[in-house]
Amino acid sequence: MEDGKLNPNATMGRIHTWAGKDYLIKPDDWADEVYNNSLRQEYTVTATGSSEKGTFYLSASYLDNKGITAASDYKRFTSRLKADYQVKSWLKLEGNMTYGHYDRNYLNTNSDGEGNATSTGNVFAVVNMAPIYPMYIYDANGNKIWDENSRMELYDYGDRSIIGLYRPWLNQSNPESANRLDTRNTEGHIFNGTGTAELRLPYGFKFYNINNFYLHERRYTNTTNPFFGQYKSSNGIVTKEHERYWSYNHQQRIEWAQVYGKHSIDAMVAHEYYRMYNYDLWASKQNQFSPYNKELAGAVIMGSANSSQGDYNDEKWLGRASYNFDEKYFGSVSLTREASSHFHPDNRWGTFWSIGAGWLINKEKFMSNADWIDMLKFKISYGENGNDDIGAYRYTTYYNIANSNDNVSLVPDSYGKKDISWEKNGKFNVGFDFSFWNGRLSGTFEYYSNITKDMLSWFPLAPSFGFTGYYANVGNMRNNGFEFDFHGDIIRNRDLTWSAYVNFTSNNNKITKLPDVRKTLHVDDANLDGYSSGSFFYTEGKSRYTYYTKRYAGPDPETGEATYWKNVYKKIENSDDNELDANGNPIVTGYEKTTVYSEADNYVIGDVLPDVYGGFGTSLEWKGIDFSVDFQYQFGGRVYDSTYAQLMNSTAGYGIHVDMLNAWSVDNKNSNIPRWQFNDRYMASGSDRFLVNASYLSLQNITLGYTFPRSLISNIGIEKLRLYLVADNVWVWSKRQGLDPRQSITGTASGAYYSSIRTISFGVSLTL
Amino acid sequence: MKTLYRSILGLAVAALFTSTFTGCIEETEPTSVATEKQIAESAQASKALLMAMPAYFNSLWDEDLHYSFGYGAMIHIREIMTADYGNNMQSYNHWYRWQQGTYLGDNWIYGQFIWNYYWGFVQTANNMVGGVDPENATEEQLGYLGAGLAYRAMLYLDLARMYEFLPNKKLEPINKYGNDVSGLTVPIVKAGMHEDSARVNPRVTREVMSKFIEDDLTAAEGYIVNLEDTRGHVLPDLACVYGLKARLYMWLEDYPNAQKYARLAIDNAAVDPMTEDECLNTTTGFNVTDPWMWGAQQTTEDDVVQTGIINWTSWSSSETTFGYYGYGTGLFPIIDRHTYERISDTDFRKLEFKAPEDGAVSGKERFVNDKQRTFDDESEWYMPPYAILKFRPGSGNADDYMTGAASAYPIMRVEEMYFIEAEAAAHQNASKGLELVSNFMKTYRDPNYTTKATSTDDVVEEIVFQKRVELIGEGLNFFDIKRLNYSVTRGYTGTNHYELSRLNTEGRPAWMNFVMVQTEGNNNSAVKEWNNPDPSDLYTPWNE
Repeated sequence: MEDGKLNPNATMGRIHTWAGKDYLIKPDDWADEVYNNSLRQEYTVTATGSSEKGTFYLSASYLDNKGITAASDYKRFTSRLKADYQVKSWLKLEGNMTYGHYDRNYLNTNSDGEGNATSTGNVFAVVNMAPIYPMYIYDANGNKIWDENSRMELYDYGDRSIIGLYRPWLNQSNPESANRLDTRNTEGHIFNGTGTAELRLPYGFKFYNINNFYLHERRYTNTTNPFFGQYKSSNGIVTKEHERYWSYNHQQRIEWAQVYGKHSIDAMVAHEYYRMYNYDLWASKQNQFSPYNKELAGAVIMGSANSSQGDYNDEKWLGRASYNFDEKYFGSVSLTREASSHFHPDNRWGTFWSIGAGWLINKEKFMSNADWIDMLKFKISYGENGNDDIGAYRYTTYYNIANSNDNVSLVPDSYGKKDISWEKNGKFNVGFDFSFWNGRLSGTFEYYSNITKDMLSWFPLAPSFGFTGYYANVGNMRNNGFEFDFHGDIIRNRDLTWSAYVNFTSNNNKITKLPDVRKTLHVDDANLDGYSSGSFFYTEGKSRYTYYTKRYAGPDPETGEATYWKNVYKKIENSDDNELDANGNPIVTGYEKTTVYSEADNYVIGDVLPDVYGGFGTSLEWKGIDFSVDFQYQFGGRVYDSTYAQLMNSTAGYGIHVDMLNAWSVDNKNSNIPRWQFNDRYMASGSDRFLVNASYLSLQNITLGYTFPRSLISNIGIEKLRLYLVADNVWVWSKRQGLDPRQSITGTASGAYYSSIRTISFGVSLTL
Repeated sequence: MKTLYRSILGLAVAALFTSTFTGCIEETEPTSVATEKQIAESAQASKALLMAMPAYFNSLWDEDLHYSFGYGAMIHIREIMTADYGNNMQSYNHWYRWQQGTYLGDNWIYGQFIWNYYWGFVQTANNMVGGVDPENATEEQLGYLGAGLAYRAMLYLDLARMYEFLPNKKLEPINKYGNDVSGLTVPIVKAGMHEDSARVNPRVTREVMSKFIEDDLTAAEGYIVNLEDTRGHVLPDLACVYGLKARLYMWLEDYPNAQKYARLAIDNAAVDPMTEDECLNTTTGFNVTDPWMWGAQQTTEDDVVQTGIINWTSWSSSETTFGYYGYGTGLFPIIDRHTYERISDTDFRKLEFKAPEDGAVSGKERFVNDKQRTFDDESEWYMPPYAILKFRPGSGNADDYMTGAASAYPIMRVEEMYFIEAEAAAHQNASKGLELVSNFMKTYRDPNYTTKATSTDDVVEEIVFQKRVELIGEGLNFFDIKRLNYSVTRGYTGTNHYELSRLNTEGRPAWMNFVMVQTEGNNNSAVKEWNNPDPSDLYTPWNE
């Protein structure tokens, strides 16, 4: 219209003719189409029994969650049978078995298993879609078109087929259509059983033999449809995979306990052995008879097939002794020797110990008048354990067995270091447990310090060496802080109980030792030595999650181009060379701005871990009604808002965030947003501009329930009947709506991940 | 007594449990990879290390990066940096960064892919060279050693010529640390180098690098005669070693030696120049190694083929219904229009491209799928004029990637040697060069060949032009343009390059001086302040 406004009576869209037919092109709200509400059901039955000699427990549960997008749903059956029986006065047997079966359909992910913001298969990447593209193909009247072959509406793949138009982003794909037509299904069974024998021997000895077996079998089916997309010409591809995890764990343990007057001693010696096998078998074929036949037999061209097997075992010897005097003073000490097959035989054993003490202060004579104190305990402990979770065979160089024009070839894969060994975690705790006023106020207060020694981490090499790095015991790290946890009954009387709780954890992370040979990068302005990997810089005295990137300096006031900071170095007089300090490093005298992104320097920005986090909540019980609310919170920390960064960039086909309306312009020179310019590569490049505060408040759970009074129900044989309404993952408040810092505490969040699902359930719980 | 018996009984039961269910820590062996210990115990090891080198031609670097399919990707990168090889649009064009001279700095994955890939490849050659002790080796193993040295020389020659900073109109050789990087190539990493030495390993000058390559090739000449089977031309032979020397001497502008070794390569080669039918055949045109001196072969089992779209055929053949180039995406590789129009109408190589509707040879091209002759741009089979037909899908199968992507691409052809010989001769004596190229063209390409060139510069330019037409799409034209300081001109009236790629340079483009990835400098202190300056974003697209 003349005044520059859209005609309110006009229909959105235009008619486009291709290959003789007319189509209506109009924009769709992709995010709206992708998400839907759905039903979640869960049913559980439990039975228990006990007698003098034994107890019995049986439960079965079924869950069906339809998911908030197409093709992401989950069905699961689990059951448990647990029984123990005193066969003889000196022999007790116990069995505990669980069995579960599940069947789930899941969405396309990248090779890391996570949502990739640029992957054409990721349905959540549509958060970036510009609001001008259609998702469906509409006929001239604006109706969706039914496709006989795929048995659903026609979607626009942006690849010129059907309507002859290209979409510059997510082209030749439509993740929503693909999710509906392709299959990604896993179906599996899990069995876990433990058998325990307890023998009571004379002189206070007991012998335990605990055996656990675990078996997990699962089968994947993956099909790509023959109708649309990049693989259409293959006429359907089917991949089947079968994985089996099988492990067993045997523990033999001798315990001895004795009481001499006020002294109480117990000791334990044990041996444990764990073995895990995993098996993998897969194959794929293409050119299917029908996309509804999802087996290899339904396709005729052989693709590829493979199988492999893995093996891991772990052995432990441990001993522990504890003592208490008059149930007032407590002490214990333990020692463990552990070996893992992840390390070279020469380096596979590690030694770990622990020690602890406690003091029940309220039992002291000088506290006997303070009867408002139910319990006040002081505890202090230090314990170590080992971590070997770095993958197998890191201690030796290994090669891929690759096809080379149908010959066997060995292509280098990973660089090994023989001396790789256990990472040790030592936890030190000191604090108080308390309970006052008959349980009206209780909680714990603690200081902790966790020291990790010989951290197992990736260590980079110069790529010209061939291998780009290896795993090694790289350094030492410490996490320390305070934790407290309070529960209180604010009101407590016959009818009404109102309680609240709050917990709080502060954490400070620091790399305490980095060997000199690892200090390969010098950060000039901060005068730090360490190394960089990805977006982080590792140096002594700073957090392991210290972000290292360019610093944004705002738009140039005259041209509006994005500028970044770079170092100004002290020069030798009358020369262009840098003056060096006593250590041979250049000296930074100041900073200047540059519009050339590659000339800008990287700076140590700071720790992205949160300062403080925890939860709080309250609950109410009144005459059978129960109500509770739970929150979780985090203060501090930083997160890289990658989705916002993408929407503040100029990429063909992407949406643009409304903040861009406030970008620098000749009339708006005070903005912090650079001027919008097509093809400007560095308008929204990686820098601290998008590293935002990660504080959040999350409303996790609201529960409302009603328990029928016993008098009403006991005559129909029901012991307890409760109705309830529960809301989970209700809302999260963060720096920007859409940013969910809970996805990662180490620095990146993205709209391209499957977000937390808000669930509102109604349920009934019945006890007979 | 009862207590005693009970204790014995109890201990016996306990012992029973213990003996049945305990274990001691055991060695495990992998199945999906081979450890050094397993290799040492295998009789196949030597041969497997040898075959690792041609296998690396087709290694998939990152399955989320659809351009990272190995050496073929390096070829494609070098091609789209020239003017002769282009695309018709930006959509799906994963190569646009190298094509438009952007994101070429040290902190992007595009530079990291090239650097890390090449050095992983050098490592396989070093493993072969280091795995054979010439004093104690069998003849067969000496042959393997020769092949290892030849591969290593080929890779270092590529690296040196790509990363060497040569003068250009847009960028001085002074990097952000104030250092002058003229004449510096790349570090030298040999077999058995310790990781600590790799941490202080400087870029070497052209002189040092060329001596290193020359020594490798001279040694290879002696050993490679023992290699009996090139396994379908994926391993080099003596002619290939001579060919590498010819390339080396051209780089050094040592024309007499270049000419000598090019002739030795031609005389020793087991193949002759491709015939018209071999070039234009829709089933075997430029997708089998038989007519070449040295090639890279993919099989159905290769990961790159199994992905369907991350492989050479996906990114080279215009006629496929699978993959990126071709039907479905609408993205096609095209030959520059001026280059095409300059090809003589009687030169059969003109048929390696789709002619424009009114072109002189229109209708004479061979297509795998004749539907793609159409000029109706609303047809789903539409292929734009000037599209490159040269690289046919494997076995001429344009629909099934299992067969279609199991093709081959050339590493060295004897035709290249003819052109090196002619150009090297021309630099010394224009008429001799003219005679050589005319002989080649009349005998093998165009019986009516003529040219008006007479001066040295003109004859060289004509020879290099014919070489560019011959070798288009094979990743070699880059080196000639960079060496001879020729300009890249994609923007002109009537151009068929898409808008953002219409860059024009004066002399060699700044983007032909590659930049090393930052992780090299971070971990190799000798190189940190000696990287090439960033040539990104120095050119803006031409406008009418």
